Amino acid sequence: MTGSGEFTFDGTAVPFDTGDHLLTALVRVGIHPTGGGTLCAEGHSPHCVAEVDGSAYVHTCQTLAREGMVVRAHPTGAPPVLPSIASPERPVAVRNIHHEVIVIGGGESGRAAAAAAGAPIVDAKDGSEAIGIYPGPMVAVRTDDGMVHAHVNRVVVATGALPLLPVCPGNDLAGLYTPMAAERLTAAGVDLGQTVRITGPPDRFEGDIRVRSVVVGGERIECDAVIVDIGTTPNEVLARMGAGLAIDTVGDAATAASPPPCPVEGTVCPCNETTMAELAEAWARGFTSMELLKRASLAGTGVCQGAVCSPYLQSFIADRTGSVEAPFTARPVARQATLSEIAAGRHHPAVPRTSLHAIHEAAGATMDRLGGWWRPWMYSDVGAEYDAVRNAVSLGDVGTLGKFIVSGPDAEAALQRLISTDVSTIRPGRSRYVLMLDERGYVLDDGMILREPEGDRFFVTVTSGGASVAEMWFRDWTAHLNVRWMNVTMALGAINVTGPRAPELLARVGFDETLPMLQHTESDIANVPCRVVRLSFTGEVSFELHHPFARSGELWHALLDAGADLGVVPHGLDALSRLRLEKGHIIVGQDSDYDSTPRRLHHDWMVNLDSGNFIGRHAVERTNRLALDKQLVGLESEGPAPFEGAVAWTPDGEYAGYVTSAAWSPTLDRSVMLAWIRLADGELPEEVWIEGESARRVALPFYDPAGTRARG
Amino acid sequence: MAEFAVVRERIAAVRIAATPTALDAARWPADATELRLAPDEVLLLDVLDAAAPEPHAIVFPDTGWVRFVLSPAAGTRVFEGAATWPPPAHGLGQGAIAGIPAKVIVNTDCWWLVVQGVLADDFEDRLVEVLA
Amino acid sequence: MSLRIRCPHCGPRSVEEWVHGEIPVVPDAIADPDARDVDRGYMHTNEHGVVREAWFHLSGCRRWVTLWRDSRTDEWVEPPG
Ligand SMILES: [Zn+2]
Repeated sequence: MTGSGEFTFDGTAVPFDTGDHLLTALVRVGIHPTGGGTLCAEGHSPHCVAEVDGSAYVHTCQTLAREGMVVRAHPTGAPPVLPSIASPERPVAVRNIHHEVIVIGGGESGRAAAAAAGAPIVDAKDGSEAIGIYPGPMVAVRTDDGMVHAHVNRVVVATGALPLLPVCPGNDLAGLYTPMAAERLTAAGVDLGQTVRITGPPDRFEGDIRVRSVVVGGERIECDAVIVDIGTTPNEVLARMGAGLAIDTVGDAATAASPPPCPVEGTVCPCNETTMAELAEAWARGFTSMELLKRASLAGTGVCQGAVCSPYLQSFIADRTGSVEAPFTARPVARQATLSEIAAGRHHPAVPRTSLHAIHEAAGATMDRLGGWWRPWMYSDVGAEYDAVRNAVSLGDVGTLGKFIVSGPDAEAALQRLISTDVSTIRPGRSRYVLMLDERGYVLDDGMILREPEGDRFFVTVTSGGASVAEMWFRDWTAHLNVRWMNVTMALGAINVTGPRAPELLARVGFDETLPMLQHTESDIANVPCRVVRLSFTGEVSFELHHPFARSGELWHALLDAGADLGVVPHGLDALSRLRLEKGHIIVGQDSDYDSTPRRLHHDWMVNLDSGNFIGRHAVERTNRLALDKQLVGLESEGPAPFEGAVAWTPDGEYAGYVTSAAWSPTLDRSVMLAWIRLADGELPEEVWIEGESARRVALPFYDPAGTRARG
Repeated sequence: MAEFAVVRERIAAVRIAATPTALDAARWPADATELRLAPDEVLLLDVLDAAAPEPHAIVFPDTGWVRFVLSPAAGTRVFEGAATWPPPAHGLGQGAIAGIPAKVIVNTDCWWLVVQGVLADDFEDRLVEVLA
Repeated sequence: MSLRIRCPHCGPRSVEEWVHGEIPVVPDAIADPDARDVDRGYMHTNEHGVVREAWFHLSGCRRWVTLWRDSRTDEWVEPPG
């Protein structure tokens, strides 16, 4: 042996020879990594695990020693300390491979199976270790270069047999080895001292920290080390992970060994320190089958997944029932893995960016992830953005809205079914604010329906972030109808031009039609083909311009250039949420909850019970007969705006509800809120207390109740 | 490293929703690359317009797609490192690549990866990472 | 991690590409449309056996796919009958 070096174990320098595994070097200097327990040197026994360079549960028998490694024993009676996240590991690469069959294990039976199926072999001895089988099936393999994910139709498990580890008093002493461990350690030049080989189950091991004697069949033998040669058990933990998957187990892994004699006492599950006495106690409490016994005693739920205890649980049960139960199922992974290894090949959900994203960033906007999109929260001055909408003109990026085109002979019938309004009364060129309910009568989403001049075509918008759910909902409910749906959410940009001077600005860029409220038309604006929709979410005159995704930038800049002297600036979500709150407009998902009926939301005016069998109609009729228990109401106070989610109390100190939206209104010079408030004796309270301030219940909207400003 | 270079380009496209039988029977402009997204939906790349294959069809000029052009070697590497499904031997495949919904078109001399523009920046970052 | 679901249009794809939908089948014996809504909304069962499942292929064709699965073995099975 040449090139020896040193690593540390709990701060003590440990010398090693080139080619030593950590365990070999430790045992050579008389250290047992976990204090005691039978060592197998094959990566199965849980008794050799330690923290290595910050990773816990590393099998020291499988890890080559390297200069300067820092090895630490796991704390006794407590889980190992998690690694610090201050220095995240480099992502682990993954290589996806696709085969019909893969064979795990390169022994005789594995090679035969691979030859028969023309399949590749995964073998830990060759540096590729299968650590888990997942549905698919997918075999996760760890290699020196990262993870391999093998996507296959069938897995052959040919992982051979495991040595039985002893269960008896004293099985947690140091100095106990399987034949393979003794052979490997001796071959590496480790002196095990006076050794004794036992071939039958021991009565007990005796000693203090290290074994000093073993008692077998009533006979005591003095020794420094015991080679425990008491048989094997199939190594099929990988196969046990794949309930319902196409897995064949072959060779020794498939050979059902008769369980060993049932031990009388001792630790049966070293991972969780479960004793035979605790098994008996769980059995007495009625946990009398394999899976129940496992859960009640925790035996088999540790990192080794039953490598020690599984055959003994079988014999324990067989002793009491007379029949041998199959071993319990296992869960990936079969080996300790780092979070980086588990995360290999995984990605964060990508958050979409609107057609104007780069322009917002260039304008210095604070971007945030809201409603499933990157959106501008504020450009530079929320007050100025608010003022531009209320007093001049402003642009808002509403490209995040869910957008659909609907066509076909049954298009109207489809929408009648999905929407709680009478769609047949929406005339060509007109639009309507609508609700979608689920079967329980709860509000799923809100949006706009526009009927095209052709009559049998519609354009539908839904809440930002709601497009995919809406698409699933639409397609599910209307599959039997003669209707075409196209989700154009990602294909259109949309800009809201809003404020008292919006018509003036649009006239300068080519749109001088008088478009009444809730009507829509198509027009070229600044040479960009636009669908123009007259509506209002901010409370001021507003035009939504839906246009081709790739043309957003030129339209945006044309509007800003044309309106510079009008004071046009863009507004972000912060300003918009204040503006809409002053108008009492809800945001579905923020102000609504999963049990929001239209009546509870104060939106029952949007439900037309004469419009046929729309989804949720029956539930609305039924819940309308029940006493109203809570309602979304408007509150205002002189104090600062409370946090969204703040609790409201009655003047008597009873819980009254909570705030869903709150903002200081510069126009009204007070705080305005939407809140869920309980009814007491059929009445809503006139006053509640929120964060120590009195809040009055007022009619909605707070701002411009007559709606004259939005109509222009 | 030109072998693993990524070229990003906007594409003209037309998306059509129509009955499956009408789409089966339709003849598209000669320049178009046809991607059958679903039995009742087709995406035509590199054209500006197309005739409606049936009276109720939705024909929608769609500027919301971005194409990445890769060498076959780079395409293979992207699939190995970032897709859990095998690429098609030729023509269209669709599914998640690097966690993002994508279309792959395997041509003889190059591969196209087509994604929605709203996710193209993230997709490009992930392509660069897997090809690094 | 990667349950594979067969899309008749796109091919087999891992579960991350899909959204599972609850589409309980309302018995034909329930004829009244409103009663069918109620059954669909509230009367979900959790069969120990072959169940009909709906999956939406979000990262592919964006269409619903109906599949049958044996909830005892987690295996995909052919449609009954
Ligand atoms: Zn699909």
